[in-house]
Amino acid sequence: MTAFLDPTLRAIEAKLDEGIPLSLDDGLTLFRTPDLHGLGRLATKEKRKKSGDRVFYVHNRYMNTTNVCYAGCTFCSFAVGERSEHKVRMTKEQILEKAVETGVNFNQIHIVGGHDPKQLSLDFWVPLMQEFKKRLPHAQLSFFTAAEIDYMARRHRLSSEETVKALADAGLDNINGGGAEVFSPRFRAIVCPGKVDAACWLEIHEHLHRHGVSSNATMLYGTIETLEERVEHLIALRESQERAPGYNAFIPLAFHPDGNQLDSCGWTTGVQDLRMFAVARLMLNNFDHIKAYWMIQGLKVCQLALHFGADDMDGTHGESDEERIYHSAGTKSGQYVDAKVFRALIEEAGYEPVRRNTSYDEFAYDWEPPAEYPVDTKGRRIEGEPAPQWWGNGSYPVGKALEAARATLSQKPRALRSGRISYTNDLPVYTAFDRNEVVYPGRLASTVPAELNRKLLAGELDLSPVSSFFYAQHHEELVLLPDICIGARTQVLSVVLLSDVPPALLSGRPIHVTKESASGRALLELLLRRRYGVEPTFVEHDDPLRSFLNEEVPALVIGDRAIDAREEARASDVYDLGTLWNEWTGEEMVYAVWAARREAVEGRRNDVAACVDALRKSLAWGLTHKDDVIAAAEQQKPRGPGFYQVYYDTLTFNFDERAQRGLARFYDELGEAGMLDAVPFVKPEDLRVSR
Amino acid sequence: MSLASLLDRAATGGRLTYDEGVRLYLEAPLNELGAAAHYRRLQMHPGNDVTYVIDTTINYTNICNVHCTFCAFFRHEGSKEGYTMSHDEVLEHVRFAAEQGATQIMIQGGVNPELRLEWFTQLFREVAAQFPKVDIHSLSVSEILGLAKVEGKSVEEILIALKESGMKSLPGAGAEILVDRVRKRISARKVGPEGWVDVMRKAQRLGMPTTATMMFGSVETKEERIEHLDVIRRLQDENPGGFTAFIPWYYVPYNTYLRGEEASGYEYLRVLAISRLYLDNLAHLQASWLTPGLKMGQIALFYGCDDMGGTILEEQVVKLAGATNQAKRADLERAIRDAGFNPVIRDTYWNVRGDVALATATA
Repeated sequence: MTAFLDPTLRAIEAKLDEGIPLSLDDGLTLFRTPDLHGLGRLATKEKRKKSGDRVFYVHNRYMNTTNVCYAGCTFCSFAVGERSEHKVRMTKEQILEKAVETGVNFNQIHIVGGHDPKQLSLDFWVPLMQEFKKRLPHAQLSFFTAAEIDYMARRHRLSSEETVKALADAGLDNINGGGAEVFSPRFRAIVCPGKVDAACWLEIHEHLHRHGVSSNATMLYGTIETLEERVEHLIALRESQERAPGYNAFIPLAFHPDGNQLDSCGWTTGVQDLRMFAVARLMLNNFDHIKAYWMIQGLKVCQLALHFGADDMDGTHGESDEERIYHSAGTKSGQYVDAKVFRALIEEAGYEPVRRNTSYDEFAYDWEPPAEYPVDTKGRRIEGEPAPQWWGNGSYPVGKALEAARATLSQKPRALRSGRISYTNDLPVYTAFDRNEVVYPGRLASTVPAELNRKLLAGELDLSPVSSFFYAQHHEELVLLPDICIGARTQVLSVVLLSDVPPALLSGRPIHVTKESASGRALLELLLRRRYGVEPTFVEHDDPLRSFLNEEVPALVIGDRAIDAREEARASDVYDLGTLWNEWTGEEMVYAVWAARREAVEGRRNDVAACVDALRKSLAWGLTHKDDVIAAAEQQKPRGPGFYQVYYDTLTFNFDERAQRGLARFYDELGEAGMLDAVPFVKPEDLRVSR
Repeated sequence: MSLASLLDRAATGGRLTYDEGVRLYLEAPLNELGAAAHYRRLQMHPGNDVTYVIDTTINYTNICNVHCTFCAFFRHEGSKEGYTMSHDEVLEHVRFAAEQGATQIMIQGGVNPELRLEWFTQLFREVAAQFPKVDIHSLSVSEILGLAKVEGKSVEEILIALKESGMKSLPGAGAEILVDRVRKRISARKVGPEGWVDVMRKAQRLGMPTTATMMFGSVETKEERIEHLDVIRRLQDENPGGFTAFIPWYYVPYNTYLRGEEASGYEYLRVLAISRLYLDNLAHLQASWLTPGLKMGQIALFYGCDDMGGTILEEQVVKLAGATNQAKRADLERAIRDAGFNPVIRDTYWNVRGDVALATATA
């Protein structure tokens, strides 16, 4: 299908190949062609001329520092007046604190706000910009729109050039592309009569470019503008770029209808969005980048836009950012996109993801600001405190969610009930709590593993360590928690088979087991069946170790008795199941995982996350304070010099990739052996992602 | 053969082998794959029409003994959250839908062993008697097999009884991915690929129109998606016209045991396009828009789809529902027109239903 369905596109392709700028008529042809794929193909070709296989994104923070605005634009759901109860005006300190709330690993700070007489002035911003430059020199400042600069110029009775110069001197790196709307005077008279006119908008950008400040450009499409007005807007930008180069990217902004006077215009359609990206790419031959901003058209359409001319997915925003302009107008997009998501979507679409900053300098994906760098992070949120809530003008579509959130905040929820194992094996995880080095944000009750399993299933606990086999049997009711587990690379010491003959010769011999050893029994059964081809016969017995020592009946022994067995039985009769597993599969074995009840994760996700966070911190403490952990263990169950040193070195507690792989193998083998109805996936819940 | 000539061949209706299908799906650039699928779609359906059906889904029970890991809907027997509707409740839902102009209802639920064949035949008779204009496009392979089991009857006997009671066609739900390895992972207690095909074959031989679905994006490989298309294509070769439409939808990972990621827009369109090209013997390809959103549903019309599926009328807020449904249909029709097509209302058999008015005036 190399030919165009619409033959008029051929003439346009010829012009593009020769580098001739497209005309108004060409733009209209492109907007109207039924050959959407032809359009996409042309745009992709032009995109490749500019950026090859690369698609950009930036780690950034996004802030709306005030929503007080008297510009009176009809398409806006964000602006409120001074007396509104929804007014949000951040102080300088709040802005600085908010910026570093989730760390400092970003390359851009993006700030836009309203025309707020109490905030939008050089007196407010110049010192703040200097402070930002001092504290976070690696973050480029992408502040204001031309409309805001025009407002500042007028209030200070300065020329726009003087204003621009003051901001450039204070360290402004870039200004945002907003406020352009559609340049047509007809459009502006109807839609945004209080806003800077087109000539003035373009003049401010051109002044900025001449003073070394770059900028972006936008167009608000999908209201009352005609297609001619759209194309004329693009041509005006192209001419401005000729006069004073400095625009980095063009960003098409789709109109969002909720809660403003133009709501009857409705949402833009997906096809309109794709056409807009493509036509912008084709008309703006002197713009390097076309941006598909996930918050505007949604991640799905924005990924497609990469095949319709776009080469940039804009910024991650910070995890605690709260964009409010588009969210006031009903966008369904979230507030934050992890860079990993960008990278995955870009790679899936066949391109190479490139992390950038505002001026399109390139960074390694895992780049971090230097560690010795004096960064003030004291503005970090106190745990347990709700984030400051700023909302739009009451039309914000999460009214009910907000009510619900308030209701939850008003009633103090009970502490989550958590289990812990009463043995010594998990002391590296729990000693820090016992020593009050780390505070656990829930209640801890300790008991034997079988009891933990039962209580979690019965709903008497919200989360607990459980045996990995038990989790597999009940994975439909439970959620696998991340980061911690109890496993062993090879030998485990506390789960052993005692036998006077090698395991392969156990066919037909009864094996003594205790009631509590269901999980160990599963591992032994699996090994015997799959590794040795032996069908085992288990017989319950109160003290299998004793019966082995007295009568040589093969026995499965777990826990402290297993450790005793090493001292009491002949070394050649002790088979460590961890070692048998590792010899067979080459994998680590995971004996216990932490799991939570599904409704706890669904209803109290943040609380569960806080518990896991505390467990992680506590484990980190335990691993760096081995002597304290060993002392605690000796106190609980004295074992003599050196034992716990070796014991804790054999155990692993990080539920890392290797452990997950070992566990997945265990489950696969159980499935193959017919010991599980359904084979669970080993995919720990990502508690940072809200559902 | 070069990728371009392979695309040309597929676009003009040439049959793809499995290997060629895999190659196109994995290698063809999105723009080219989409252009080929769109060309093929225009060739198969030369008018500029895009059809949709006014319908509703009535989930009569959420009790299910199949326990698929990708499912957020089912409850175990005895669960406090379990429910089963009475006949009167189901009829009330049908009445609501019929008042909104629905021509099709999908009565689907879990596989609840408490419900016997007679429960369904009585219900369908009642629906058919009270609402003669509404087609009963209901149940699924799993429910048919569940009934065969509790009744101790053959699949044919069950299908014949249901057909006689008024269930005219069988939706293609429960196909997921018709590959053994995948089904063991996500729906271990469901019937295997041959079992699914077997029920469909029997329904088709009894003259019941059926649809086929694919749920992609859970644990299958991309090659296994093509294997699935191949299974569908083979049965369609055997019973030409047996499947009226193919409906790919992607796995929604929220609140399920299986978890995972939601398919991207890019992947959704690629699946649609390769389905259009691979299923050379199947007339209609359906876009779903309730899950990926109307924007993606509209874009899908350029990647091989000629049908927008059902409107799934809502009645949560009974007083407002009339207006809401009308608005939803108006948005749908506006999206179809904005993409350059004419919205047309169809029924279960793809008859144009001129007697049912569009929600918006023709421009």
